[in-house]
Amino acid sequence: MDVLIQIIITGITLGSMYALASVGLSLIFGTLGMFNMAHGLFMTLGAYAAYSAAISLKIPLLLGIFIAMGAGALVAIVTHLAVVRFMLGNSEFGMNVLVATAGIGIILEDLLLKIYGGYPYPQVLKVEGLVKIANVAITYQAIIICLVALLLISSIAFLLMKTRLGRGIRATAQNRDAAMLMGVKSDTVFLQVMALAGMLAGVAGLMISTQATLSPQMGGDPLLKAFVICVVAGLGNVWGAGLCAFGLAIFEATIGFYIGVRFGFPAMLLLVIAVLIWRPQGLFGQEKVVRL
Amino acid sequence: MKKLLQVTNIVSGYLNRPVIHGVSLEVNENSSVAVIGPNGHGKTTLLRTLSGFLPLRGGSIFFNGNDASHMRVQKRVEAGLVHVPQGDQLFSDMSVEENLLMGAYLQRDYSNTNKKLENIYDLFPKLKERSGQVASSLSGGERRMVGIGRGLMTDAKLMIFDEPSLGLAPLIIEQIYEALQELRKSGMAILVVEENPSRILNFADKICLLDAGHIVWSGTVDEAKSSSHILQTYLGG
Repeated sequence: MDVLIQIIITGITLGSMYALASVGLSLIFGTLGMFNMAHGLFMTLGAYAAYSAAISLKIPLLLGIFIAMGAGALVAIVTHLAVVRFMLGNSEFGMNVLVATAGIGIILEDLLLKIYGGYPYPQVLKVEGLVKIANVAITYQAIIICLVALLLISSIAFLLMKTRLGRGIRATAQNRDAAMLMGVKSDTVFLQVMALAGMLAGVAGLMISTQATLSPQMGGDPLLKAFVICVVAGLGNVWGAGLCAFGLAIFEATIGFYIGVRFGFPAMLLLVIAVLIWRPQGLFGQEKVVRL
Repeated sequence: MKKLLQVTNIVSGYLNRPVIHGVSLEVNENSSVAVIGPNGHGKTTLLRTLSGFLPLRGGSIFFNGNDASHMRVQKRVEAGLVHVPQGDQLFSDMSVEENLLMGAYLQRDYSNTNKKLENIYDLFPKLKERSGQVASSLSGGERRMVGIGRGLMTDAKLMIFDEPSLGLAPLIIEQIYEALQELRKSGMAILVVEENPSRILNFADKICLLDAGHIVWSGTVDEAKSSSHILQTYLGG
């Protein structure tokens, strides 16, 4: 029983971080139709920005979260304005933007390496201590991670479903031309989506760094996992991405506990392959129906 | 009568291949103009140029007295030039009602929205039954009704329809044109494009024939009927 609870808690904590990373990635894919290869670096930059602010200004974690969000949003906005928007509308957009964002990711990673060096730092913005419920130990940091993810993801859900901004985003994602014909400014929507996804990525990075260490390469692994989650959910399906993040994280935690941590991710990938053979469009994706 | 849309000598197309070679046409307030012509002769290209999806390569577009030649799509919508595109282009994961409400996206004042929605449900009672249903589950005729209804939710001064009869059963086409007739009676200016002219003859004030990217003939419906050449070539008479 204790083991089960421990696994679920580990899974939910992991899932919270995966969800923060993959919801933004999915939102970008759903709206702009692009694989954002720089998403991992949006996460890394969020973590480093919060770390630097904490080192120099001694800020509390709450403020650090806002700094991570701001840094993520800022780099996402700059990426969009400086690169992505010039590629939109090109018939080769999907492939071109993949290469371009991968390039941006590499440049940013090298920049971080230059500034901070390759040595991994421990994240200082972190709440120490744990609480014991029955025989299960839960760190305060894990609780914070879950709460932050819950709060942010429900805010995004509210924004998408209940606000005018969200209606514009959903309309653009479902049919860009038709949204423009309703008067939605698609350029603005793209910028808003990039900023929102960047914010989520920044926080994801900060949270991931509290569980591991800060290094310029730290975004690579979560980026890969976020991609896998988005593909399993069905590309561009934001709700599905959120759900799959938790499902796969709990699966990874289970395998990690019973077989060994190093087998968690490979087992997750095997499951994903099986799912995709069974449902090529992803768990929550719709089969494309072409009709006049 | 005031000129609402004035298109002068426009050239447009895809990349380096012009499809529209110097088309001019006018739509006055409270009138309806039909553009007919065979498939692949630039009808949809013409409309996509008017709504701003395709850049103008020559000539000018004036709407409601303002130069709209290089206006962005959403600015034209704001000005009241509303295009109901071919193939409906619905928001497939939204419900019928959400789709209709997207038409009111630019309206910050919601006091009129419910009244407009009721009007559309009066026009297409079927949509009221289906209001909560997701758009991707609708039949072709219902989709067309949502597409038109969504256009009507905007603050349009001129409505542009791209082949509203395309792919529908005759009975449904009848219903759609009855609705367009209603709309016309209410005083809305309409520009409609069709391949099959039979629906247009008792609907439009003026007819333009588009052939290979040129307007080859234009005139009133009576003139078209009395010109045997026009009838034979385009109207199947």
